Amino acid sequence: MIEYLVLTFVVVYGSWKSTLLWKKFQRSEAIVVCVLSLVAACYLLPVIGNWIPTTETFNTFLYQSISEFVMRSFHIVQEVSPS
Amino acid sequence: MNVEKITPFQFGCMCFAFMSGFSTLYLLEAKLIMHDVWIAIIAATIATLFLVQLLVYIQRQFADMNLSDIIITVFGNWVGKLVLCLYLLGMTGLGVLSLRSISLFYTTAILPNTSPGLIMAIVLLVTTYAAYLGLSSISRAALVILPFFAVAMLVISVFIFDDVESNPFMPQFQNALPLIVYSSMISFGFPFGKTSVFAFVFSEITNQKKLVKSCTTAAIFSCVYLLMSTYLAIGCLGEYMFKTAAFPFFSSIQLVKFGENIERIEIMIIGIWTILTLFEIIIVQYCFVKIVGRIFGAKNLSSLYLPVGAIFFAVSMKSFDNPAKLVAYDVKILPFSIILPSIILPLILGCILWVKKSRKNQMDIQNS
Repeated sequence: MIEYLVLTFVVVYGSWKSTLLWKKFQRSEAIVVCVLSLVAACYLLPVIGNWIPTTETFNTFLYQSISEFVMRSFHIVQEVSPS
Repeated sequence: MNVEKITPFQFGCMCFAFMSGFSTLYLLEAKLIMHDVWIAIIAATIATLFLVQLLVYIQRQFADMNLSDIIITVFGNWVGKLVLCLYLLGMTGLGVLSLRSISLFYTTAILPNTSPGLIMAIVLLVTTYAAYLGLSSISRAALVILPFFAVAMLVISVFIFDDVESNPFMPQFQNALPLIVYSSMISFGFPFGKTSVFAFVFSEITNQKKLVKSCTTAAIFSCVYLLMSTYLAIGCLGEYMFKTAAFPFFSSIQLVKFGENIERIEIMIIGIWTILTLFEIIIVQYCFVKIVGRIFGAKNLSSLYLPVGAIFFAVSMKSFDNPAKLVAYDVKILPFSIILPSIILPLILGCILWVKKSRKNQMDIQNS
C-alpha cells in the first residue's frame, strides 16, 4: 500500500516538477528530476522492481566470492546469527 | 539554495553523530571475538585516523573545491563521473542499511505490528526535509542533541556498571590473528568506514586548518563510546546472553531501573539513538544530492531531495527483506564493499595528487 502511495507521488511530482523546470529553462535540473523519479518509480513498480539490482544484490554478487575465499583461507567460522 | 558554512566544532559534532548513530546496535565484531573486541575497535579507529589524514591531504590540494569537483578534475570528466557513481552506490548502500536497521529495531523491540515500509517512509520524510534545510541546520540540530545524548549515556553507563561483575575484556588474545583482523574489518565497515562520506562536505567548513582535529576527535569519541558500550553489554549480560541477544546494548539498558517508580529508561535512549541514526541518513542524502547535481551539472538542487528520498525508500523496500540477510550482509559483504570507496579510491586520488605535486616541485627546481 505504502509503496503504491510513494509510486503515485513520485510519478506526479517528477512529471510536474520536471515540466516546471523545463519551462523555466533549467534544463539540467529538469532532466535530473526526471531521471531520479524514473529510477524510483522503476524500483516501486510491481514486477520490474524485483528484477532491478539493488545495492544488496550488486555488492553480494561482487564480493560474495571474495568474502568466502577470505573466510575459508583464514579458517574464519561464521558464528554470528540474528536471534 | 542557501549554502552556509559550518564551524569545525559543528562539523566534529556532526561527524560524531554520523558515526555513532546505530554503531552500538548489533555489536557484531564483539559477538565474533568477544574478549579481544577492543583490539578490533582500536585497530579500526587507527585505520580511520589514517583515512582522515589522507582525505584532508586531498582536500588541502584544492582549497575551496568540493570532493566531487576534485575527483572530476583529477580523473577527468567521464572517469570522474564513473567514480562519483561508485560513491553514489556506496551511499545508497549506507542509507539502505541505516533505514533497514532502524525499521528492524522498531519492529522487533517497540512496534511489532507496524510495517517496516511505514517506519522507513516516516523516517525518510524527516530526513529529506532536514537534508533540504542544509548543512547549517543539520549541524545546529546535532549541537542541540549531543549534550542530551552525552548526559543520558553517562547516567545509563553508571547504572549498568553496577551490574558488571568481571572485566569482559580479559583474558586477552584468545582468538587467532586472522579472526581479529576480520573483526577489525567488520568494525571498520560499520561504523568507521562511513568517514569517507564526510569528505564531500569538507569544502563547507569555515576553518579548514582544523579539519583533522575535528575528525580525529569525533573518531576517538566514537571509539570510546563503542568500547564503553561493548564493555558494559558483555559485562552486564554475560557471554551467552550477549551472543544470543539481537540488540545486546539495548538488552543491557533494559536492565536499568531508577528505584521502584521509574522504569523503561531505554525508551529515552531509543529516542536519542533514533535521532543520531537520522543524522546518518540525512548526511548521506545531502551528499547524494550534491554528487548527483555535480554529475548532471545541475545548479539548483532544491528540487532533487524528494526524488532522492523516494529512491532511498524504493531501494530499501527491495533490500534485506529479513533480519538474517541484514546481519549476514553486515558481517560478510560490508567489510569488503566498504574498501573500494573508503580506502582504494582515496588512496588512488592521494597517490595521483602526490605524484603531480612532486613533479611540479621538480619542474620548479629545474626552472629556478
